[in-house]
Amino acid sequence: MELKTIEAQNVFEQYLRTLDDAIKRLPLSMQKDLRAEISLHIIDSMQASNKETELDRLRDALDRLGDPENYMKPMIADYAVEFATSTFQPYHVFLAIVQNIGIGIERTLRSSFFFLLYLTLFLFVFLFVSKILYPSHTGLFFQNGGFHAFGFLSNPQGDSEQLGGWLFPLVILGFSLDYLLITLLMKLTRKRRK
Amino acid sequence: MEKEYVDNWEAQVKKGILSFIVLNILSRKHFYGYELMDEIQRVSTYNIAEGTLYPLLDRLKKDGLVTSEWVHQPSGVPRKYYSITKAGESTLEIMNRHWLSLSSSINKVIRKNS
Repeated sequence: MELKTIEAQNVFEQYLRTLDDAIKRLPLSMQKDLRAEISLHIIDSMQASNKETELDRLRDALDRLGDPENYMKPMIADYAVEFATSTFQPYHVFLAIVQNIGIGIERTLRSSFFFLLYLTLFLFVFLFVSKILYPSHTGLFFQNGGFHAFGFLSNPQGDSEQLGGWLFPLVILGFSLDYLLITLLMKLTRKRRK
Repeated sequence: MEKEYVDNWEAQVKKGILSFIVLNILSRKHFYGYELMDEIQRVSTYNIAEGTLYPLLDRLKKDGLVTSEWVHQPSGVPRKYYSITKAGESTLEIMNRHWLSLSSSINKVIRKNS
């Protein structure tokens, strides 16, 4: 497909290279079809655009299409699963898992991080209750003048607990900071997703 | 806050029913990619990345609901036309019934609340 100006031709070819790269794992016949279809889509979209120059009409068309890396993702992942399950080759099964994890990796990382923060929140509550029920087993323990443990010890023999009742305000402070951090991060991720 | 919530909700609803809209449009006649996207935007207020349509059509093809064929045009430019299959038509019939029943229930809830 030839465009009239060199600039537009370069932008067009660059877009097709990005597309080729995004769909390189699909079978060749599928790649050929998609390349032809998307090229025709771009030409049709340019013809419908009311922008003045060819380059602007092209940019308009590409903006409307979106980034191939993004919109082709579900298809690549779909195909990888299909190919892996039809061949049962361990290598392809592995590839398919990697492709699908790739899509959800950001979400997975985010939820694991939030899970850890929530777990810490729970630990603060645990420390608070544990200090009431088992005061001598809970706190900051030193042995021979050096740090030994923080939290709950089933057998604190030979240890001296340093915090005493100060553990309560500390735990409340930790809990509040953790809670604030979770709320703040939640707000940030929501804004970013938008 | 309200606008953010509504925008997110709207995006999710639209994403969820795009294949439903595509099947309904294809049940009228066959379309090629760009023409289909144009029709989607004409009948609805969709503002999605147009490229999203191609993986969706591929998925519908794999599910046996849609079929495609390159057709040579008098202009010399071939077009890949998508049509609904028999299985697609019967699936769409069920989907339409579900949609009508769902929208009537939602309308009832809205009316009760207002």
